[in-house]
Amino acid sequence: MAGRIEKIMQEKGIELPEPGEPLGAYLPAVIASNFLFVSGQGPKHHGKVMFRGKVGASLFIPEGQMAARQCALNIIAVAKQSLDGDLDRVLRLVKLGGFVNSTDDFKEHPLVVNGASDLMTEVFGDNGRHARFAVGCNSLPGDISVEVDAIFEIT
Amino acid sequence: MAGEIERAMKDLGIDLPKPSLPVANYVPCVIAGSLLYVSGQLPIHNGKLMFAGQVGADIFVAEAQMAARQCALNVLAQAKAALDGNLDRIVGIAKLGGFVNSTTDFTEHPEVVNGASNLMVELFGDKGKHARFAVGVPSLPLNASVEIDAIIEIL
Repeated sequence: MAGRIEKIMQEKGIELPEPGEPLGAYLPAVIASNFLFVSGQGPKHHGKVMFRGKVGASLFIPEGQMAARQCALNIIAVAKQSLDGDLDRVLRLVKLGGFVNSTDDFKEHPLVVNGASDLMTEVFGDNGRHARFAVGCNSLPGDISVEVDAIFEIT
Repeated sequence: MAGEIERAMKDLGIDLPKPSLPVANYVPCVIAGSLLYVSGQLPIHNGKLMFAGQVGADIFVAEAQMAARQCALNVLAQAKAALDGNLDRIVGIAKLGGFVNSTTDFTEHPEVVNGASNLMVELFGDKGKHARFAVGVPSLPLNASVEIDAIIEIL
């Protein structure tokens, strides 16, 4: 379906990965009221983790940003699946939650999570501008470097 | 009120704890539109914190799952109070946030948070299937091992 968002992704050469399977009795995303809640996504490419380890030790800001961008690509892939393939149903991205698996003295979480935020504005334009938090965690599932979740307003 | 959910809890032998008071200047729940936001709940049972400590050091996955389950019971106790005793007003569990007080090399956060997710599905069936995140943190209030918050769609 060549909708507006699909055309934008095509023009920018943005390809969505295959969404992976949840790691428990929960769903990749849920529609409640006029919101789409997307579960925390890791930096996977077609189900394979691309970035493991602590930012500030095993990897640094540039790879951290790539990891965050990969999380955001998975968020969009899950959103597309939940919206029956129609990303034009996204009114706006409301909020991102950014968790960075980082060392105790790491301070540049916002720069890392920008990897996800930037992708969202690339794809959704003004409708991609969002509220967010960016925090450090001492560990993440499977030792992934970044986890990002999302709330979209939808039709 | 002996509604559908109350019956399901009876059948499963589930007794909701008394809702605990907030430990600071906030409220246990807020209703905004058709969404009920429940503040982070700890594994408290009858006023006593169960399964305290760091997962991967003081306690391990099996106990942490029980802690997560206790958090989920507290989420429901708070929700019931906010909904004037009527859990049948719940349309669905939209999202859970799972924070695990863990060591830096811990990777099984999803297994721990399954303790909460499984309870929601046990009780609510399909309506209990939710989006979620599961992350590791270096510390939690009162040295709790798990903290769970929730967003619930209501009538």
